[in-house]
Amino acid sequence: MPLETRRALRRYQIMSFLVGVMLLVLVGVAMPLQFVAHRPTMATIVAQVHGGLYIVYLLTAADLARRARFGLGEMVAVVCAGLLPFLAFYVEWRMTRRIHREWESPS
Amino acid sequence: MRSIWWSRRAITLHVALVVAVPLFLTLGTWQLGRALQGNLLSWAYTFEWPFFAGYATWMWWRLVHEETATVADLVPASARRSPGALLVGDELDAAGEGGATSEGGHATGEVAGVMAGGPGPVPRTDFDPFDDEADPELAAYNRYLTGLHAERPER
Repeated sequence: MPLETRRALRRYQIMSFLVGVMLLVLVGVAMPLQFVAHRPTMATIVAQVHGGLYIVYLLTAADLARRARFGLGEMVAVVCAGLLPFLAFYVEWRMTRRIHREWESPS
Repeated sequence: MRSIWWSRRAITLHVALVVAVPLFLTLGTWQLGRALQGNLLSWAYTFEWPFFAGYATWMWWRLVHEETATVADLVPASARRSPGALLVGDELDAAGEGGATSEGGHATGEVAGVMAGGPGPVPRTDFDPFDDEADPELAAYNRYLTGLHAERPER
């Protein structure tokens, strides 16, 4: 795998992980606090952090998409991965396997 | 070659763009209104929605230009004359071993590579037997396969 592709994959993996974790924190911790315990401060902060990370995540995904020639399904998967809890981890796992399969084997 | 802007897939993408971008910009404007009224969280969304609109535009541009190639587009004319060489399978070993210097082997490699959704190739050339290929992308992929074959140990 070319070095730049490996780096692009690594950046995507890191951002995917952060976005996935932040979304879980938002949905699992901050939102219950906001709607059940009526303490919205954490939700406000976490939502903004998640939003910012999501933008950086989309940029790293775009970089990877350039190198690996994503199709429509893959682009949709990457976009949705940051929006649904747990989906980010699953999509990142599948994407890593797909990239490795393309670059590490002669076929 | 038919225009990439008018295939069914491209039309779908055009429609999606025309729906998504105004929607995102409207949402961004709505959030701007809320932000100016004092909702601090809305400031983040005010900048996020235009970015999403730009991202959607980029996706649209990329996907329209990355038209899915058919096998017929990629198989060179020489291989079409000998269709027996077009074996599509997981193992590229047979193609590599027997096909490094035969056009049938190249075709097998290309077809198998297309079926696997082949990567963007990194050309490695000490010598370059593929200079007269009409398709530079195909030539680059052939060079890539040749380079891989050259660096693998003989079995």
